[in-house]
Amino acid sequence: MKRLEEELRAALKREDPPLGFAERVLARAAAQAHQRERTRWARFRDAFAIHRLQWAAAAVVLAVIAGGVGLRIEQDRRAEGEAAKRQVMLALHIASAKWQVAAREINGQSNARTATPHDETENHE
Amino acid sequence: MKHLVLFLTAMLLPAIAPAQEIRLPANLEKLSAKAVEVVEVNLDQKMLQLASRFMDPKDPDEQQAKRIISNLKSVYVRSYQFDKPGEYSDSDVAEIRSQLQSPVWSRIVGVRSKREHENAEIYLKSEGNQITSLVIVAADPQELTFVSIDGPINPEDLADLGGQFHIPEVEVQKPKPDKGAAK
Repeated sequence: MKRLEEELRAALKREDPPLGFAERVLARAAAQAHQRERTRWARFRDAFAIHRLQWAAAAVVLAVIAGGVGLRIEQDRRAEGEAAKRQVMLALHIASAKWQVAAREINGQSNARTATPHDETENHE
Repeated sequence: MKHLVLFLTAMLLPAIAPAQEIRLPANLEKLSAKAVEVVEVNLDQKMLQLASRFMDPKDPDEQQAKRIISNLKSVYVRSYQFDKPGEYSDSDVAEIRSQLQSPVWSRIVGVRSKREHENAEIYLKSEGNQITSLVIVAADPQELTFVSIDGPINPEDLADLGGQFHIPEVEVQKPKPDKGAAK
């Protein structure tokens, strides 16, 4: 019984850690934390490196789409402008032609006013 | 009392003020169903400005047109060509004519030709010495045309277009004063 007590006492005896133990523990913990951080960054960097080509392809596709949309807008604007121009020319053509009808009638009737009383002209100019 | 008068004036002014633009009657639009050829041009100020940006600086016709439309607010044209006479009646243009009876409009030309069966009326609206609107109503048995130009315009510019657009120019002569009327 005494022997058992002695063995227990020996086993449970308080022992001081070796010199520098706490520093080594803290240093290892710091090293592991740094390692974890480095690994995360490395993973992100690696992921980006893997997808770099895809990023470039996406950028090119976006640039092409933006260019296409811009070109389409410019084409639409030009088509609208050309259509408006044609309408203006047509409108002025018709207005001018009808003006000419009136002018022709006035000229013709003023020349033949006394000779042929067929037409009626009112000119309030 | 003064406030009441001002209030009533403000309320009644829109009703008595002349319309700024000629409204196209609905029955005129219905003519397009009977017509064999229809021209409809609707150009507001924005479209006129857009069109002027696309006028070719080397083309004299387009430069003349650009000059004419530079200050215009709107241009509307309706032209209906029919394959036989009698497809439209005088009542079809009566609503337009009634709008043009307003005192702000002056009919400067009214031509009725029994020989050519061509009728043409030209109305002007002016402020001071400046013509601010022009309306042309032209009708022959198989064609009815209505042109409304809103904005400052010189009618001589339209006459000048006779030399442009490949239309032979016709000299406009003022009729000699009627001696009987002068008495």
